Order: sequence, then structure tokens, then C-alpha cells
Amino acid sequence: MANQHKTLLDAVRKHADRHPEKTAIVGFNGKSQSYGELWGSIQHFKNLLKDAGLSYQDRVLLIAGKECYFPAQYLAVHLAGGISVPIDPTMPEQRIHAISANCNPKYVLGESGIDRVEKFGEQYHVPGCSENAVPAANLDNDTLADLIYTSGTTGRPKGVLLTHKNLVAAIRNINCFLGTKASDVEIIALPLSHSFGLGRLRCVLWEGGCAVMVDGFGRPKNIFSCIEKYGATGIGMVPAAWATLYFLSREYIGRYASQIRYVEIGSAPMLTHHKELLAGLLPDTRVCMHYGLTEASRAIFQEFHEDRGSLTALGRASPLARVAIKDDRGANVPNGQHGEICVKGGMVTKRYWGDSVLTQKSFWGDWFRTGDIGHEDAAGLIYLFGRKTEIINVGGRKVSPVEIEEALRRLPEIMDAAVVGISDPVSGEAVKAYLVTGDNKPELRVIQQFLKKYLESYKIPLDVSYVSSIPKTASGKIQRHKLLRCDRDAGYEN
Amino acid sequence: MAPNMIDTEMQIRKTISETLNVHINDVKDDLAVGDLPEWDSLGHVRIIMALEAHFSCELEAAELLQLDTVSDLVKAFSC
Repeated sequence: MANQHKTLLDAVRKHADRHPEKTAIVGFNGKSQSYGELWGSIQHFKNLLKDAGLSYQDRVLLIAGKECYFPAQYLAVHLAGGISVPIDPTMPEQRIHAISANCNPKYVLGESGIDRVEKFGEQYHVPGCSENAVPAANLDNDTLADLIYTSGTTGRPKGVLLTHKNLVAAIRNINCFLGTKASDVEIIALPLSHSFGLGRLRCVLWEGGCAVMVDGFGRPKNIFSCIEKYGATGIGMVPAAWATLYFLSREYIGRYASQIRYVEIGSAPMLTHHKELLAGLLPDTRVCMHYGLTEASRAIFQEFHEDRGSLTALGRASPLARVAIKDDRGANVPNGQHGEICVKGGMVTKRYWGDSVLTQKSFWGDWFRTGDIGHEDAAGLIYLFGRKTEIINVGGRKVSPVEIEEALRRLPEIMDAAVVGISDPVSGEAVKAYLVTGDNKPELRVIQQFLKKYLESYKIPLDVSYVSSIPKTASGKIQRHKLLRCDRDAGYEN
Repeated sequence: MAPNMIDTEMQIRKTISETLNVHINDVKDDLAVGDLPEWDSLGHVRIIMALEAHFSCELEAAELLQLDTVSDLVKAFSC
């Protein structure tokens, strides 16, 4: 029977009551927490937050590492009635400041505990599950749970607000398609500050399964040893992670074909032959790929075996989502005709944090506009054609050209800059910069070194061209498509 | 160590340094995947691709799985 909890907290509390000894979380360092310990830890952090004066719907920045305590901190913010704002541990300070300025968090939770509350690191005592540990805040369906920052086209932080209702709708939708259950043990190597990785964690905890958090895909040996050690039955990957895993271990994953029940892939397009390859190596596994955004989690799903005749498509609308292809006025277009992919459902955000203009522009009524262009065929299969926005997708991580251009312009030698996404065999897309300089052209290495102060490593350009001017419209908007075209026509020097 | 082995080791360190855009003095033996933001999974693949291209060789899955540190890479590509 489907899990009918109202919030993820309810689900975790019930698992803690019924199976307090069952392992819920394994951190990247091997430390683990049972459901009883997890619930105790959630209460502990909640008490600290409440004692410190956290009020209903205050924001709390969470350093989303792979340590055992992150899930407890994340859920403790919810229990205290706050809004969790997970950020990547490798995020540069400047970006953290921009996010802080945007959402005005009251506290920061991380490795050293609660900043401005108490420093305690790993030394806290985790009490067992107690009947007294009731939720401190009254959470209703519209209570905000998460504020997830993603790249907007302007380069400014774009905060996506998700209610508890959004989270539950997303979990039900995903688990219904994947078939995740209480006996599953999942490897979570994805970043937990992003919608995909955090979503995987929620889905596993909802069912009462075990989440084994692994620090990225850079060490396939570590991934495989965790699959063996913990008897993992599920794993989530972005296409670049699969490309990495395949490059670094070839067909090794096939050894676990009878053990791995499901794989979820998403966040970026995947080459069809990679889909076929993975499906071939895992013939009895449910290999699912989603299309979705932070704003509209897993709107479309595809299963590589069931849909082997249509792997070039994104898939079909997922169980609890509706998808429509709309024109520039918000009207549905006929099958086969290109339009904007729009999504409706309980998982869709209602608004962005502090940006009513963007919120207004992002919806046709209650249909969320993804900014992606595609079409639907008569069989209900949806195909992606391209993007309306200029966001670059580096291995599933969304990158705003504007943010990089602003950082580039800080270098005194650079008079003007434009950034585009170029095809990359490893990450799908990589960042390329076009620069206008004087006689002194800084070398790529110098530029990369300079940008480290301002940008995460995946945002740093891997290639650069020096141009005499950046093509712009009369209103000053950069015409990025012209740069790529001119590059192909050898109109620009390298 | 024979002179050509030293050259090979230097070349491997240089390739890692250039691929990750870090100073060659930072490319120490025990530096490993995940120790630097630049040496993430994609960085790891780029290093191995660059080394395979430079030395015109392709490692087996069993060898690839053992590559974690600079020292592992030096060992694998020095043979």
C-alpha cells in the first residue's frame, strides 16, 4: 500500500517508531545512523534551532555535505518550522554571500554545528526515539520547506520555493515510477544541494530505505565497494556521471546487474547510445530517466527497457504530472508542432523567492513554463528540441553565462566578455568564453586561476577565443548564437 | 630512477597540473581525487584522457579502478 504520510517528517518519525534499529543513513566516512538515531538527531537540532530563536519560516543555510548529520539538519529545519536552504560545500564565498543577501537566513548549519548557536561538531549526544519528540511547528500543506537556488538567466541567485506539499507530491511521483521500497539501499553520490540528489535522499527516507552517501563519482572503486558492502539496490546518476563511471570502469557495473533494482538518471540530456549501453549492462534493472527542473521535479519519465524503441524522446508525462506543449500565448499546440514544454502538478513550485516578476513570467495560469522547446507525438511521447534560455548544462549543473561574464569582466585586461556552452565529450556541455582585450591577451590558465576566486570549478571556461567585439542587439543583449556561428565559420581567432 | 623514468614522471605531473590548472608544486604524490575542487570526477576523467592521449595507451578497467592519487597515476602510466 502506498505510503500516505503528510510530510517527509511524518514518514521518518513513523519509521523511527516502527524500526528504530534499521539503518537510515550511511555517511561518506562510513558513520551510520539508524532511524531511531536519525529521529533523535532531528529533534536535537530542532531544539537547538528553537532555543536559538528560530521563528516560523525563517531560512537556515545548510552546508549540504555527505556527512551523516546532513539529513538530520535538513529535516530539523523543517521540524522547527523553518525553510531549508541547502548549499554546496564547495560554493565560493561570493556566491554564498549573494544567496545570503537574497534570502536573509537566520542561521547556518554545517560541519561545526550551528553558527551563531553552538559549536559542537560530532560530539553531540543523540537520544533515542521518544514519544515526547513531537513536531514543534504546525506544518500544513502550504508551509514552505525548501528554498533551492539554481542558476537564472540573469546570473543572480534564483531561489525556488517548495512547500511540504510539493515535496510529498514529488516523492510519490518518483517512487511510483521507480518502485523504490523499504528494503532498498541506495547509493547517493549526487550533490545534495541540488534538486536531483536531495530528491533521491527524500525518496529513500520516505519509504524507510537506507541512503548511502558517497562523495561523488570520481572514485568508481569506492562506488562499487559501497554497492558490495551495503548491498545497494539503487543508484542515481546524471549522464555525465554515467559517462565518467563508464570511462573509469568500462562495463564493470554489469557485475551488479542482478543486485541493482533501479537506476535514476536525470538533469541533462543523455546520448542514446549511452542509454542503450546502460540498459544492456543492466538487463533486469529498472533504468529510469527523468526530465525535470528544480521548479517542476521529474515531470517526464522514461524507462530504457520499456521505451527502447523511443530512446530519442524524453519520455511521457510522469504518473502525477501533466505536460503540455504551448505556444507564445499559452495555448496548446497540435501534436508534432514545436512549442514550450509546460508542466502542471503538485510538485510544481508556486513561486520564486522575492521575485514576483520572474514568477509571473514563468507561468501560464498553473502551468509552469520550463523554457525548453519540444513537441509531443500522437503516442504521448515528448521530444526535446532546444532551450529558450541560454543556461549552460555542465554535467547536470546549470550555469548562467551572465554570472561568468561578470566574473570575467573583473579581470582588468578584459574589456568585454561573452560565454556560451560548447559540446564536451565528458560533461555534455562545457563553458567557452569569447573575450575582447587590448594587446595584452591573458592566457587561459591565468583567466582560470583568476576565476577560481569567484566561481565553482565547473563554471570556469575550458576554452577561450579572442574577438574584436561581442555581437549585441541594439538594446545591448549579447547574441551568443552568432559567436558560435562565427567560430564555426573561422571568423574569430583562437 | 632512470632519467627517462624521471622525464615520464615529470610529464605526468605536468599533465595533471595543466589539466587541473594547479601549480605543479601542488601535484604531490598523495594528492587524490576529491582533494581539490578542480579534481572532481570530470577532472579525473580529463586527466586520464590527457594521459592516455599523451602516452598513446588505453588502460584496462581493473587498472582504471585503482587510480586515486597522483602516485597511482604515475605508477600506471610509467609502465
